[in-house]
Amino acid sequence: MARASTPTPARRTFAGRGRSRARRALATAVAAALLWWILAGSAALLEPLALLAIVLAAVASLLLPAGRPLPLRPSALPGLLGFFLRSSFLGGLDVARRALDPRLPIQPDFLTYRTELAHGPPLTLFMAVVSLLPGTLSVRLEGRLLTLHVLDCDADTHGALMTLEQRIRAAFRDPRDRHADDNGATS
Amino acid sequence: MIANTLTVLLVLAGLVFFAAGTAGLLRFPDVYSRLHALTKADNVGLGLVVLGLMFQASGPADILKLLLIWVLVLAAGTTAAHMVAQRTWTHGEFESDR
Repeated sequence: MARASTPTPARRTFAGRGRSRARRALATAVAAALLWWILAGSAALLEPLALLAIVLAAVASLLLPAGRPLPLRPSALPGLLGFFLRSSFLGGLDVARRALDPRLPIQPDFLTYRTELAHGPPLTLFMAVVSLLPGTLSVRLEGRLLTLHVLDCDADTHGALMTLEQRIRAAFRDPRDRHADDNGATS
Repeated sequence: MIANTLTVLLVLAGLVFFAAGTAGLLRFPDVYSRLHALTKADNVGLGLVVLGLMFQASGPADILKLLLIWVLVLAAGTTAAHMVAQRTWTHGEFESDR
């Protein structure tokens, strides 16, 4: 196991299944233990009930069918997180300013935006984050056509949405643009 | 001492955002605009309160617990905002203002 120091990409071969199941059970156990530690403190981690819960969580992840793998690209996550923190703070600042301004400077309107993100986690994340960006609220999704409510119809909402879509696309490995896997994050 | 000062400042700043969110809830004209005020201002408000309380935490578990609270409220808030907006879109406003 000399090459164990470099993280090997998950293999899709049948032989790798058993190992990935074991790894998933271990990850579940670690997550359950972490959660228990956060909620109840380190002393409670050695209680019989805690150990039982952690083991049962791991066993459950072995018995239940695996969900679809989440094709995250870890290298793009800090960028997405930073972008989210910055723009959601600006979003709160913006709406607080408008709400406290005596003139109430809002020009609400609806607009539509066609997204190219894949259905599933990327699109769900996109719609969730849109509601926290400055001045936008996701209202309705029909196919890939998103209806938004905006607080200020003069703002450059379309540009902000395209930036967010680009960030989310960089954080997920989309099976449709596999060629972009190696160099897609450089923008 | 510095930690306490930071806590007071951050929590007070967070409360300003909560107050602004409530002001928006009362002053904005329709359901959609009010959702903007609620979700975004309360997200920042709670974020600042949580950040302030982190300086009073007795250990890493407390800090992570506060972070977990913020993330869960954030997820619940943005999901609820979207669902209320979607319901309003399909069924109209819940009640007339007057």
